[in-house]
Formats: sequence, C-alpha cells, structure tokens
Amino acid sequence: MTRVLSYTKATFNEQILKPINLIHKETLDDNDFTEILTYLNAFMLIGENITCKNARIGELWNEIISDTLASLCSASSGFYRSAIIVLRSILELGCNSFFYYDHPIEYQMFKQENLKADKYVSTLVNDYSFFATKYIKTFLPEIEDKQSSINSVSDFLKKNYGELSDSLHGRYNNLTKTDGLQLKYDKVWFKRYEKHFLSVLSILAVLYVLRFKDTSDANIKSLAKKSKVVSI
Amino acid sequence: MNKSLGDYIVDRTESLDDSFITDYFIGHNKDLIIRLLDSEQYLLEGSRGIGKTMLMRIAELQSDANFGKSSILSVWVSFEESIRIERIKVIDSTVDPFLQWTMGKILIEVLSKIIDLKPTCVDELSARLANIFGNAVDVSTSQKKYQHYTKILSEYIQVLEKGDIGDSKILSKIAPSPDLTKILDNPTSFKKFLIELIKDFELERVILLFDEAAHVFSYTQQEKFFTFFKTLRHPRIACKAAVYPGITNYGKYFEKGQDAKELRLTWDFNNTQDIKYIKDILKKRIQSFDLEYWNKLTINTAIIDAICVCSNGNPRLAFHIVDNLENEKVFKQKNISLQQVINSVRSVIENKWREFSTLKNRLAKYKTSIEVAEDLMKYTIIPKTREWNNKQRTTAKSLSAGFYLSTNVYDNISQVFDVLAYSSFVSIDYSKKSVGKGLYGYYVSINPSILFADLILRELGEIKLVSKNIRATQGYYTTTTEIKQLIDNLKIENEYRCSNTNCNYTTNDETFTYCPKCANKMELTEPESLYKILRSHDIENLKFSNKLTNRLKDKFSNIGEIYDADIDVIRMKYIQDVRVEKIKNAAIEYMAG
Repeated sequence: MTRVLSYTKATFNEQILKPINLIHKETLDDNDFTEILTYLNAFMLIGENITCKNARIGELWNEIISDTLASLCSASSGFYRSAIIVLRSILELGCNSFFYYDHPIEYQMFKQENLKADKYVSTLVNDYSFFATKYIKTFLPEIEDKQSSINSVSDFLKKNYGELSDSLHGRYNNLTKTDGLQLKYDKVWFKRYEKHFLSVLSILAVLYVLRFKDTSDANIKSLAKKSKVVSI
Repeated sequence: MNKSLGDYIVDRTESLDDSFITDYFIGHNKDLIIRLLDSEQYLLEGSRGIGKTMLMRIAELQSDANFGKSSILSVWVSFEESIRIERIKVIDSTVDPFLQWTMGKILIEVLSKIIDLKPTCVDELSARLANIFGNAVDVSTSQKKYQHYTKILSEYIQVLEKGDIGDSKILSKIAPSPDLTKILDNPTSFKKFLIELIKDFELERVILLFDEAAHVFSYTQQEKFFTFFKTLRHPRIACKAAVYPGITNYGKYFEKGQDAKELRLTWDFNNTQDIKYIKDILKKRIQSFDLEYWNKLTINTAIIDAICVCSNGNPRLAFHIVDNLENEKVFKQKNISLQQVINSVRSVIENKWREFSTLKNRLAKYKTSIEVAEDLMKYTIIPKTREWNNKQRTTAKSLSAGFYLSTNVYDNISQVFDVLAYSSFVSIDYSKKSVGKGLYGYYVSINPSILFADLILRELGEIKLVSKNIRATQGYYTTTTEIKQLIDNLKIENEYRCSNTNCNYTTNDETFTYCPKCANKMELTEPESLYKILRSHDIENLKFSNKLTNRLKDKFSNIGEIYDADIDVIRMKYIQDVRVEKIKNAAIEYMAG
C-alpha cells in the first residue's frame, strides 16, 4: 500500500527536512571530516575512561557526548550559532566533571539537592583557581616545566568560554543572520565552527591528560597538543 | 656516522620515501600535477630521469592528503617486476599471464590503498556511535570481502612473480578463487569490478598512475598494456601512464591523442624558469647535505648555471655532474673552476655513452639501432655541428645546438633517433616545420652537455647566440650521404617461422600465412625474452667492488639468481643488513633498467 503523508507531515518533510538534507550533502562534499571524527573518537574515549574511574561523574559525560553529537549535527545542518552555543555547554559540563571529580561532596549535594548549576567556567577559574598553575601543581608538581606560560590552561579556558558566551548572548559580530534569514551551507561559518569545536575538545583533553597523567592514547595526546597550552 | 652526498642526490625517486619526496619536491610543473589528478586519460611523456616518477608520486601524496575531502583514490602502480612474467610462455590464449598479473597488480595496489587510507579510529568510532544510536555495529560485508581479496591476491601475485611456472596452462590450476578468477578473466570484467568497488566505497573516482608503463614491458607486453589501458576508460576511472618519447609501442588498437592525451615534460636551456627549476632542486638537496658545498657551487654563478644548463632539464644528469665533482675532490679546494665543471660534464657524458652501449643488452629489439645511433652522433652529427658553428663564428652569425631532420628520414629510421632521445642525448620536437623544397622536418636539439663537452659551443655565453632558424641550422634529408647509407643498411625485418616444431622453414615475407613446406601456420619469431637476457648477465654488471663481487660469485652465478634470492639467502660473512639491501636493490634496479 502506498504511504500517504498528512499535509503537515509533508510540509515538514519537504520544507524543512529535505532542504536540511541538502545542506548536509553540501557540508559533506565540501569538507574533510577526518580530523573531526578522529578527535570525536578520542573525546568519547576520554568520557569512557573517566566513567571507568568514577561512574557517578560518568553521568555528566553521557550528557557531554550527546551534546557533542548534537552540536555536530546542528553545524552540518547549517545552524552554526546553535552549534557553537552547544559547545559552550560542552565546555561547561566538561569543566564541571573535572571539578566534581575532585569535589565529591559538592557533587553529591549538587545531585541530592538539585542545586543551581552555577559553576560556570569563569566562576571555577576566578573562585576556585580551577586549572590555574597552582591548582594543577597540587597533583602535577612539574607543571611549571610543561606549561607555555603561567596559568596558560586556565587563561585558555576563560578566553574560550568568553568567546563561546558571546555567541550565546548574541554579541553582534556573532550573529549569523544579519544579512538575511536564509538557511544554507556556509563554508566560512562551518570552518569557524570547526575551529571552536576542536578548541573545546582539545582543552578538555588537556584537563584529562594533566589530571590523570594519561598519555597512552596517541589521538588523545594529539588532541591535547592542539591547544598548545602545555607540552605533552 | 658521516653524511654521504650520495644519500642526498639519489638517482631514482623509487629510492625515496614519502617524507623525502615531499621535502625534495620543487613546485615546478604544478599544472601537470592537476592534470594527473583530473578525470582525463594521459600519457606523461619524458626522457629518462626528467622527473616523471617524482611528479606521479607527489600527485599521489597530495591526493592522499586530500582524500578525506575529495574521495578521489589515487594509486601509483609500478610495474618494475613485470619482467618476471616474461618467463611464462603463453600456450593457451584464454589465460594471459601478463594481463592476469597486470590486473592483479593494479587490484592489489587499489585494495591496499583503500585499506591504508582508512583512519584507524573509524571502526572504533562506528562501534561507539552504533551503541549510542542503538544500531548494530556494521563492518560491511563488502569491506570484509575486499580484505579477503587483498590477502589471496597478494599470494597469487607472489606465485605469478616467483613460482615455478613454465607456461600459461598451469595458471588455471593455481587460480586464487572462482570469484577472483572471474574478475581477472578479462579487462572488461576487471573494469566492472573496479566500478563496483567505486560504488561500494562511495569514491568520486579512481586514478591509476602507471609508472614504468612502457620501458620495463617487452614489446608485445606494451601493446597488450595499452589495449588494456584503453579498455579501462570510464567517467570514474582515470588512467595516466608515464612513457618515454618514441620507443613506446602502443599497438594497433591504441591511438595517441584519442585514447589518451599527451602531457610532455619539456625543458629549454634558454628559459630562466627552467634553469631555476634545476637550480632549486640542487639547492634543496645539496644544502641539506652541506651548506659549504652549495656555497662553493654558487659563489661564481657561472658554475651553477653551467651545471643547470648541462643537465638538459634532467635532475639525474645534474646529480651525476655534482657527484663527479665530488669524486674529483673538487669540493676540497677553495674554488671550483668552470673548466673543472666542463671536465666533469665530459666524464659524465662518456659514462652515458658507455651505458648506452650496454643498453643493447637491455633493449634487445633496438640492438642495431643503438649501434648505428652512437656512430651517427659521434662521427657525423657532433663533428658536423662543431664545424658548422666554427664557420658561423667567423661571420658572426647565429650558432646551432641541434639539427633539422626531415620527416622522411625519421619515418624510415625513427628507432635510431628514438633511442637517442630515450637516453637524453637528443630531444625531438615532434611538431612538423617546413624545411624548404616542400619538405617538413622535426627539430632535434643536442643535449647541452654534449654541446659543451664536444666543443660545439665553447662557452656558456654562447647559448644566447643559439638559433633554431632553419637557415642557421643544418638539415638531414634522405639525400644526405650518411643518412642515405643508414636507411639502406638499416632495414629491420621480422622473421616468421613455421609453428610446427619439426619444420625449420623461416622467411621474412609476412604474406605467408601457412608454411609452404608442411602447411602449418606461420608465426612471428619472438626475440629472446629480455627477462632471460638480463637474468643471465654477469654479477660484475652490478658494479660493486671486486671483493664484494667475488664474494657474491661464490654463491650466485648471475644477476637473476640474486634477483630471485630472499634477503636472508644473500646474507653472508661481511654482507649484512645494509649491504644485503644494497645488493638486492641493485639487482632489482638492473633488471628494471
């Protein structure tokens, strides 16, 4: 029997899904996904390794990985700003996971009391010196020999977080539709997204490598090296 | 360990690994790289050592780097080992060992490349994503099929190259699998399989870069290869073959220009960009070896310019000149003189003539032409051009660096000039030009090394006075005494013999289809297989030291035995890892020419 779509289903399919499929195709044809997928795999491995070390923190990584896929799908569908906004969430949740790994009581309270999610990256760095040199030194005394400059990791986190927040809050230069409301593949915006994507994944890989002193996986190591904040 | 200049000016690109190729590549001929990666069929034509392999390898490396975006699979296929196939006699025309091997070789290279290009993380990532989306992990069955083919193909190629196979009948018994037998059965089934593979891997197209496509094949193999090349034509398959000018036998089914466009690697000593190209190659390599060497070569620009001009656009020739300067300990002196460079050029050219003589053994079919060509150059063309220029100088007219050859002469004795072009003694411009009296001719330029070594030109500055104008250049016609004699003496005729082994009837008359003595079919006499000729050559031809040669002679009686031997069999006292590899490579290079 021939399947008949309702008017609304047909409209959704023809006017939204199909044009988005065309954007997918153009994005695929015009870009090399080797680096993105290699580092996505490395990032997923980081999530698995952390879950192995602490299954409770692993809950956050389920969200982080799901967000990462959502961000990639948005970007390849032409929703570049949405994709970048999700990257901010990934960076925030990622930093939270490392913070709570070392603060189990705070994490238990966060969970038990459903506390406000107010551990923004900027708050972590400003109030807790999160991944500042002195913070890292508590578990990695040789950090001063490895970092590119004092507080290189926390400075990078803050800078990156600030840039992503500009997209979230709609700072004018970060708006994507000021020239008109048209959804289409845009190479410049996709490349800009790719840069942010690799930057977020890289700095979280740096936190992982430093905190757990684990450089056994070549792709994780290579991902961490991309941000050039520490020598690995 | 001390660095050796030899490691930095290696002759053959085949001896360089991928990172060296990328490092040593000079961005000359970028337009040709684009052509090598497009969807058209091409013949990349250039004389020995001019850089065909380098261009093909760099095109392949660039394509690999871009594979993630373009989905274009470029595969460089070298046929160096094809010579081994000549030992298998074709007695059953339904199975041709050469075609089986050629298709098998291409297929294994294509499959290996697809496997190599797959990022290591892809299977892991697929499993992780399948888990998230609740899919089954899908390592596709077609991928498994191709992996299986790669394994059995590799075994089959080994057997074809090294197995104890006397004739083509045995091939059907050792066929790898019914599936593969079907694929390798004929060029059309092979092409069908390639197209299937392109669909399975969602490739944009497959580019086959055939190196050594003509030189290492026997005369009959060349014809089979180019017929096969033509069959592969498809919008998603692009074949490119590196060939030598002139001597390639395309056969009656392949039309140059129609079935494949020509890409020529050309070079002109009066073109500053062409000179710069050779200079940049030398700079990169010699500076990596020793900055001081480069300084000595360039402190007087006439020195480096002379080397570049004499290279004739052939980096290999430039390397030989520099190598000769090193052997003469010139770099130990404070300065290098122009005379020392000319002496080295002379020595390199003498060596090239010696190599040219040994070419008779390699290119058996061209034996007579090679002998005649050497005499023609040494005793007619070089002295006559020198005398011509001597006269021209007295009247302050333009000088000559070549000659016009009437098309009638070329048509009659093309092989003589083709072997000279193949060895870079001359370059032939195949565009026809009017040479007066209603005749047309080709301009043939003499290698600048010869021009200076044989004093046709006396100093570097004279190249600016060179003219190709017909009035300023000598011409050779069918009426020229020396040429007339050559045409009369050099009639190359095929020999036909009776296919009945008990009958000894032979004739040069091709109209005999059947033997007048016993009525069996007549067949063309094949010259002795090049494979057999080269195999039987003495180990001394590998040009090792006497001590090393004598040690090898204790174990092996000819080059063929070394060529076949496994690395561990070559190993003996005083001949360990480094030398073993050197010996093995020398045997392979010798067999490949």
